[in-house]
Amino acid sequence: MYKSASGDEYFVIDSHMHMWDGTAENHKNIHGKQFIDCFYAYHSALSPSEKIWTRDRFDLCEVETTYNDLFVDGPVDVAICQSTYLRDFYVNGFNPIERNYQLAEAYPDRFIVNGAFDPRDGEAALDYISFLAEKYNCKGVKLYTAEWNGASRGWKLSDPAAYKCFELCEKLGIKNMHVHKGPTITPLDKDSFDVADVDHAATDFPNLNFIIEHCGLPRLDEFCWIAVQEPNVYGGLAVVMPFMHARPGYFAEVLGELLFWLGEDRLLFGSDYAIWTPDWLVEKFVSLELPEEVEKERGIKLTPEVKAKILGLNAARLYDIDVANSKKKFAA
Amino acid sequence: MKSTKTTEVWQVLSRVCDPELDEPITDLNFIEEVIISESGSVKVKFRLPTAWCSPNFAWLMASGIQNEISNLPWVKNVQPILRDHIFGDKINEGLTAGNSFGEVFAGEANGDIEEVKKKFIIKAFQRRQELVIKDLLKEGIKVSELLSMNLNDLRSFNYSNDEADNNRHRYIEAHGNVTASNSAAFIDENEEQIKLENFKIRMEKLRATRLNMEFTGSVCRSLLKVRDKSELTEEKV
Repeated sequence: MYKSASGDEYFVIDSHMHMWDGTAENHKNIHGKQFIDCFYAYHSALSPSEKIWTRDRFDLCEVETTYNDLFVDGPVDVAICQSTYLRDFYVNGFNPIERNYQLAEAYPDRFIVNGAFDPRDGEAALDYISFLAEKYNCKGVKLYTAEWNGASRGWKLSDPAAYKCFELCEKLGIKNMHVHKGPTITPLDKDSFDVADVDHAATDFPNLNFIIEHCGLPRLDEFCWIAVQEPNVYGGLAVVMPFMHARPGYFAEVLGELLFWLGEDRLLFGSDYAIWTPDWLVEKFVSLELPEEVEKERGIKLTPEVKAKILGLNAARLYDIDVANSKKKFAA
Repeated sequence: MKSTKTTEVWQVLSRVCDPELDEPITDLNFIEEVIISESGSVKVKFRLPTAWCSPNFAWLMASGIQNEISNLPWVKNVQPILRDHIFGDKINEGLTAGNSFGEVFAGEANGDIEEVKKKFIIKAFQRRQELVIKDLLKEGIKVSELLSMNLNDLRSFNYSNDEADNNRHRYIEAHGNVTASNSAAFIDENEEQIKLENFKIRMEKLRATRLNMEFTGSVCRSLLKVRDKSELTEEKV
């Protein structure tokens, strides 16, 4: 729970965080080092200077430190942990579900842990989805369309193999598809983070929610265009949030676009922990005022009610979290 | 002191731009070292903000380095050396062997690096156009007047500040990359003059391009700052 200076209370759901092992012992090859180096560069580049961690602290997240950063030092009420396997780069994976699930075991009321699948694995992908539902009771997954797999350099949400996976997810109650469509890493000339495939999948699976992480940036206009037409498409604000600090004018304009096109009910706060910590992001967002010209030009208002939706109420709806009940439970 | 040859190489290097940032790689501190041999072979060591920067942009910069330096009369061969990048070796070997992007990334990349190049020429054009339009509107020019300007009108316009003058210079250069025949100052990517009734939509389009480019741009710039800082610390140690 976050309480503002003026006494407003915000129920906070961090819809995008991780608990990774990026230490040298876990690197399978040079790419493991390069990947965590790249994350640390993002962390150092876009955090306020007093929030920059040492490298040792950044490389390894564990259950207690993670809990502490989110729920003790940070204002988070419920966190949604997104799994990222990267088994080609890391001996035990970067933050696979079995690692992340330790969080839910230790703090079952606080953590929701999402799985992941790769439709290019064919039958094995379907088996794995059933396993995720059975063993971990997953309600969501994180999907990387740009991930390499054998000779393949990416896949599309509109692929027939992906549709088979979505059908099964729907049947098993895995309804939240968090899709990474964001800053480009290792693409070749064809852009695997292109957002056009979202349009098809979202139309054909109206009972699934497609949360487009990082709002498709740097393809914001294409993302907004699709989201306008598809009511089950949402914008995940991970990576977008820290721009409040690094480039406030830019952040205001982007949020203005998102509020204008998607509206206040379809945006989800996410810290992308441990790249950034929720404490300063939430504090800054609650005290944020959009410049008058942005509000006027786009005919929008960033009121406390809108902020409350973005910070937690929208995600609560997607994950069937009873906010009033949770508030009571956590206050006790 | 730098030799004449070294100075010449640095001069031509400033013509190579980062396609996403639309800025010379020399201003961005991407170049680490220029090594010139007696026999006229040139090695250029360079580095990007992270090992994960997009390989097609890395390729465009590496081949840009090679092309620009090859134009100097005394140069026998050029070897761009991209350091600390996941595809560094692949790109370096490919360029040294004279292979194309398509050959180097055969099986991994569909399509044409020229398409990527064209896309960025258009993005730079749109971004520079928005700046010039905003500058002119700030000077009190009406939209209808602005849209009827030709390149000569734009060239002879008297601005009250230098930055606007620089924006104009860069826009006219980008205009030349988009059209050779239409001298109307404000055209779109299809070489059509922008009409008054479409002005609002055009400005929306230019804003969208800017918001997208600024995202990558500010990420790159911030990453670069971190990289430079960590190198300074390493040197101190």
